[in-house]
Amino acid sequence: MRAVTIVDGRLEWREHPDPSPGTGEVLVRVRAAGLNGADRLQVAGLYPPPPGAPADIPGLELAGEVAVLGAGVIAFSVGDRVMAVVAGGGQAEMAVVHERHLLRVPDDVAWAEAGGFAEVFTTAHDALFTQCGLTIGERVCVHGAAEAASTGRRCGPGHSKPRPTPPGGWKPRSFRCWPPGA
Amino acid sequence: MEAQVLPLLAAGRVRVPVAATFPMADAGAAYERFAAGSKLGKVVLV
Repeated sequence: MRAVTIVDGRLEWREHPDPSPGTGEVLVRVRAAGLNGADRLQVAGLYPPPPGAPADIPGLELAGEVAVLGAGVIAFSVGDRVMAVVAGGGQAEMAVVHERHLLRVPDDVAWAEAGGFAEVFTTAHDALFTQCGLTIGERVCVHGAAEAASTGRRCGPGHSKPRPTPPGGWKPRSFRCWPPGA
Repeated sequence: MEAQVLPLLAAGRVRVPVAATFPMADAGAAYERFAAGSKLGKVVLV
């Protein structure tokens, strides 16, 4: 396969061995892969990928079709449209992803949209519901509301006030930031 | 995510703004666009 490859701080389109799915993993034929801030850091040598992720192929999210099933995969079939956050190596023609990390791409969602979905919306969902324990209808304050991950956060409550109130206590403010860029 | 967010994506109530797409083989240009700022939404390699 070919992949975006970091070579001395530059990007090249280079040949690599095809990855092979292990137990519980699938090989995804990548159709789209979004860029994220950490990718730039990795190119600059400032973001060492986690163990097991390719050091020279960036890419933290992808969308594509399941091409090969590893042993023991139970929830997906060859040809399924999937998307995922990955530890690295997403910006390649093929990538291996554990089936636990796969999300199904709805039928009407284009590849480009699916390729930019997983990182943003997983980050936003994690921040709002897993880390902060918020529930539907609660008010939130979104910093950097025009930034990509905030696109996901804005899909929650529309109005905001600080939570928790920061030291010094600024006055609660309400605003809307929708549609994006508003 | 699967229970709360994917249904919204499937129904079109949540969209992913895509600022630009580039061929994967042209990643250098995509990273330049990403770094340039003044974009709204994702830069995506396809």
